[in-house]
Amino acid sequence: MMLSVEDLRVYFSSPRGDVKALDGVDLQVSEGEVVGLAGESGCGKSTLSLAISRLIYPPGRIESGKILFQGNDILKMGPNEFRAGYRWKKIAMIFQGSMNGFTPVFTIGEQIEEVLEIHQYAGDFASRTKDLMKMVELDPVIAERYPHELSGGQKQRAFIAMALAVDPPFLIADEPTTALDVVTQVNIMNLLKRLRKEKGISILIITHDLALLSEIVDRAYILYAGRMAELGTAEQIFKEPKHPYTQGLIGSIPTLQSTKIEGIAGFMPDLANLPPGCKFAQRCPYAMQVCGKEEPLLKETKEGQRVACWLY
Amino acid sequence: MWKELLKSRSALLGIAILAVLAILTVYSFVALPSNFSLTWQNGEAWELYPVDAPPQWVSLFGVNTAATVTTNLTGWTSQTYSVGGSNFSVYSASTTIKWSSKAFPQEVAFVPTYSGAPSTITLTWTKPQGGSITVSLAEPASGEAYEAQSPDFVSGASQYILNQTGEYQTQLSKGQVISTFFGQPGPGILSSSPAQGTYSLSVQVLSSGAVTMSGSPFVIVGTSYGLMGTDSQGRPIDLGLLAGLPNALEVGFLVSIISVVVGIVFGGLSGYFGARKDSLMQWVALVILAMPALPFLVVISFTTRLSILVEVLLIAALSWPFYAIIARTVALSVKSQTFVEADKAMGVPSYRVFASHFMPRLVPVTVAYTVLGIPGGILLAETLSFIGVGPVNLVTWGGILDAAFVSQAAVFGFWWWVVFPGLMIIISALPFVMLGFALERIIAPRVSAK
Ligand SMILES: Nc1ncnc2c1ncn2[C@@H]1O[C@H](COP(=O)(O)OP(=O)(O)OP(=O)(O)O)[C@@H](O)[C@H]1O
Ligand SMILES: [Mg+2]
Repeated sequence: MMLSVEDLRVYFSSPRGDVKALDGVDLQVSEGEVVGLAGESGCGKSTLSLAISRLIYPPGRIESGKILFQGNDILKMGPNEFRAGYRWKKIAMIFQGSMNGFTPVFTIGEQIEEVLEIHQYAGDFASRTKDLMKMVELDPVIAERYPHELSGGQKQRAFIAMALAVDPPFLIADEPTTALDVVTQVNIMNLLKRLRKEKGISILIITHDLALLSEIVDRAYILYAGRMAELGTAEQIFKEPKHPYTQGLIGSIPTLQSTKIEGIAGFMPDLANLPPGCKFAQRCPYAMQVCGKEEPLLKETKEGQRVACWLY
Repeated sequence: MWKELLKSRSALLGIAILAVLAILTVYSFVALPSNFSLTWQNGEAWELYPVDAPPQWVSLFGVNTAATVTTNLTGWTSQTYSVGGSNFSVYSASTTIKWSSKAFPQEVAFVPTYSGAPSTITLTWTKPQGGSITVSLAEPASGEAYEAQSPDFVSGASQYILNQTGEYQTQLSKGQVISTFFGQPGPGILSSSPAQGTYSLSVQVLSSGAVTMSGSPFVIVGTSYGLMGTDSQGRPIDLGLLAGLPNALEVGFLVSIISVVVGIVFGGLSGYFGARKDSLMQWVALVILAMPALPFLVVISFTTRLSILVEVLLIAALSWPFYAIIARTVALSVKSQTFVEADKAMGVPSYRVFASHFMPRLVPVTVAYTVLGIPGGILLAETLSFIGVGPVNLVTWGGILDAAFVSQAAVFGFWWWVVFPGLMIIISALPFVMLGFALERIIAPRVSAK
């Protein structure tokens, strides 16, 4: 097992009380597997990716849980051990808006070389930078340019090159394609697919674009209000979603055939002030008595597919 | 940045005023002796200056005042005579003095300055219309001021009055001696008005031994003085302002740079750390900010006599939080930039993150606020001197204003004693404000953009 998140709780203190961004979340990624994480805005997707990278800072805190990386709990490590052995070396991250992740005043190449230097890359920096640029299908001369001289797609590729700098076995891609045009989105996704195939790296892709996700992932997790609503293989999630929330999400995917996008009525509850029972109950078309009282646990409905819903 | 600065008209004017202040500062060091502050406090040094005298140029506006003129007798020549086997020398020098005032001066004095032992010094004072007064000083003392009331001046004057009026007067007042020196020749000399024109003064020193004469001043103490007048001890205001300039700038600059650097580093780190450390640091800054600086400084200065450095440190210690709050805001905005988060995710060491992202934003802010903070420093330091708790043994503008206040200059209408120091404080603050605002305008978009 590459990554195993167990019963993770991440809270942000706020004047209104703790914002329970993640409240008992489990997630597994196997070697060479591409896993998707989807859910609407504010459900805690980025929080999970930041927790795996140990980037939760006050007012946030990890309340409880384990994050096992190749069997070692990274939450128990000292900051130096994590920095020396894991950060970027084993766990790299392309995150939301990381195309703005380049410092404006240095060239792309300089910044990639800085990463190589920080992580004590043994080989020649210049040729490594060149290889990395080729790996993400960019012309190596682009390394000599400044960030503002690149298009959004080029910057995103360059950032992926930076993420791959020291050959991490695990890559988190938090909304790697937001703010890019559709063709570029597909290209980036194909690039990630190819990297998985050629280098065998495990990838956790976070997005709310389910259509894009269905193209590339082996398995997918659906997160709602800081907890898993459903998980399963790509087939199971996209072809036969069980949870009403997943069904709603998939119904929200615009297609050429559908004349109207269905969407899900209502809002996600306030994470600082959660209602009892199923957190989706207020918006659920199938809500029953029990839903408002008791919280459903994940239940296996099929080999590999698990749903937290009183319907099953 | 410099190019943009030079495009701003107010910045250019600021630079020009600053250049003038810089030249005056240099001039102050060159022209004033290093112990000037002691001289300033020593009343004797200002004996031959008119007291409470307005600036000389008020006469241009029809105010009837007499100018103060100091003429140094230089260019001494000597001749040696031999009479009956013994040698004696005569040293002579002469000068002319243009007198255009319609009022009589208050005093005349001659200060012979020499080494050696002359037996007599003879002054010959020739009026514009001709006719002269002769004053003989027997065995004079070097450095002594011989004034109108000295017996030698009085007897010279009596002799002249006898010539003009045929009457011999032995008891002459100071005013009468001065009238004799400057009045219209004729029988009515003692009740006449001053004769305008070119007077000439020649001095002869008679000695049997060798004498070395140095520039001996002949001082006509008028009722107005120089560019900015004098205070009630006769001290020229312009000299005081010149002496106060370097320390004003020094205090202003030191206060500003210390408080800005401390504040920016503190606030920058506070914003950079964030979370609990930030809250604690902000609390500290706010507590100090809430302390009223002036009363606090007054209380401290009652317990210790301030030196200029202690004063600077105290003011800086109370004013840095203002800059800390600004720097924190800048740091927080930098911190939320994606590339700063990216650097952290990549494991870029924090000192590097600080140097490459935070410093470039904070340095321009530091420059702008240092410039803008100088007037505040100057003002606070002068205020302390004004209320009498500034550093002792230092000529300060605030100190001059304090003396004016104590002497009730405003009540007596000695406006020059109040106006010029006040103007000086404003003028010294102005260029920094103009430059600072121009800098801020240039820097502000850089800090907020990107
Ligand atoms: N630094 C923070 N301080 C306080 N609350 C936070 C902080 N970061 C996140 N949260 C809260 O945690 C919850 C989850 O945020 P998160 O960024 O993980 O959402 P997300 O699923 O990634 O959303 P999006 O799709 O918009 O990126 C949100 O309710 C958010 O308000
Ligand atoms: Mg997010």
